[in-house]
Amino acid sequence: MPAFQAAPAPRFALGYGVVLALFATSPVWLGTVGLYQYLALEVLIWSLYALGYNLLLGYGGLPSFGHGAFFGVGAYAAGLALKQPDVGLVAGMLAAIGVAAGFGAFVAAFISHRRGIYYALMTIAFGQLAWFVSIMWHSVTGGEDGLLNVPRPPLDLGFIQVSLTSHAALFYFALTLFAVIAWALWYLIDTPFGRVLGAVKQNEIRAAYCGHNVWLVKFTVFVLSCAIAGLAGGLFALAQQSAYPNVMSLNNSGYVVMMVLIGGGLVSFWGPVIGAVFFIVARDLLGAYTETWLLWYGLLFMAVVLFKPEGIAGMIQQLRDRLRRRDVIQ
Amino acid sequence: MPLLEAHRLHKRFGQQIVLDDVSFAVETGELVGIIGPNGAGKTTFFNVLTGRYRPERGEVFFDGRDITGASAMHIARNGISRSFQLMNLFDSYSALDNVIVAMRPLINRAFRMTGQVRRDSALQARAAQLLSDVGLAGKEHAVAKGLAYGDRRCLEIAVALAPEPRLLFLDEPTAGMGAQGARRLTALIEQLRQRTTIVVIEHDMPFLFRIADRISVIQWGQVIAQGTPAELRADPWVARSNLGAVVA
Repeated sequence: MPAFQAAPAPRFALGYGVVLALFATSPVWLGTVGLYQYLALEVLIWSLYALGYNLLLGYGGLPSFGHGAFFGVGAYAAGLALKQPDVGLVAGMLAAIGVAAGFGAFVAAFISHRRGIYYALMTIAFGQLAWFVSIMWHSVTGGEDGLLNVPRPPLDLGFIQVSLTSHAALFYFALTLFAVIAWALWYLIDTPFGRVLGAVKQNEIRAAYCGHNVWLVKFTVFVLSCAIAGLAGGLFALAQQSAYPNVMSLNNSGYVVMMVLIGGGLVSFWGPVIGAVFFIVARDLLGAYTETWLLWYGLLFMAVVLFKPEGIAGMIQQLRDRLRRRDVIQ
Repeated sequence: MPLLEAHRLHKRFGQQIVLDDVSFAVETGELVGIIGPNGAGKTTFFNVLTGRYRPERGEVFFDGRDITGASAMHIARNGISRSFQLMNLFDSYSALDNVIVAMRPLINRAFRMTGQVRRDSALQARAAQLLSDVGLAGKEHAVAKGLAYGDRRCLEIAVALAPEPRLLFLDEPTAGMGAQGARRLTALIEQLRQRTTIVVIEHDMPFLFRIADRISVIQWGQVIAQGTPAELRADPWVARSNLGAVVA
């Protein structure tokens, strides 16, 4: 019997290195291409959010169309925590993660026995609920105005305090978190949980007949994804120094779906990051020309879904394969 | 004590009675066949025994434990596994990954978020061995949906075997296979009976009469005859039914 050959390990280091290097050097070159530092911070936050969202949509096959709620809950939790005296940066971020994960667990308990369109509809319902509460619960959330003047406390590393008041400093703080979570997500995909998640995505019934607890797998991945959305929301509250209902709106929940799909999250780990860059830059560039930039972006989204459901990452992969094949032929 | 015992199972869909007082038992180590025409209730019977449907009446005991109406997950965890008539695989996983996600280590530690499966060479080797047992050596990394029909049939059995079941249900394993493919599966099932107790639904009656220790004939949702192949050949009911010609 021929010896069994293990599958080649999928490559991660290259993409990871490129993404981190591009982000890390962005303060140097952003100005020269006509963009600005705050934009990179926003791209980074959305990238983090989209990577966490893709754990649910791309790797779990679970369509949440109300995910903005968890991003928003994270933003409000961080904002409310940081406005208290003596609450530091780390505690604020932990509050964002914890409250978003807790709300995620509450929602997941109601939806994890569903799939497909019913799953999607229920996430929309819960998303709208959170949005509505954020507007109506004036005494806590500040109503339509939101929470204003959220402080940016310094990062306390024990031996040194790093001020995050500049966008660049906050950017590197966010980049560190992004680097850790991107790596952790990649790692997670190949753990037993990641493999079982993929099995549940492909065939819930068969997974149950193997003895897997399908409900609990779906519950867990939803909570994880919400925790990451909450962290991204917490960073957003720091970046904007405020939290407001708009981040929970159905529009905002739709943006992350569009980022993941246009970027190619269904075929590539980095797809959501590509999509986030594309979305935020398109918003800025198209937005400079026309108020109706979302109309054009929406048309583009429809074109991608209709003709290229694998998104930008899929196009890159196809191009690469074609070039490789040409090399082989010549 | 039988390994599995079903007592007077009754199942209906709306007005239609699909299983009418079906009783059935399997002893450890046996290979039991179930035959009957299309629509006789064979697959429904499997579905009731493996947790897909809950019977209206009747009881199922596995190893002395009452598993009537338990979920598919619980029944699987108790040690009962099954294959499907219409293939039911993890289509975008490789053959190897299909087996790995169904293996005990992944079922018992499905929520572990440390340790990479890719680096677990012992697990990989065991999965590869299982694939080689069902005749899929060398196809470990082929994606399930890209495999040939006969190979998919074998992979279906490998996935069912992966949790090391004490009782294995095979739902028409040779369905849609040509003569050569059917022979391959016959040989495979003959081999599997060394490892575990098997209940197999089949249309291919010569095949079943050759390999089964005992056979139950299901018709109109009832067991109309059961016994060893030799006993069935002598049974007047079987001889008079459309099975008779094949059996004799």
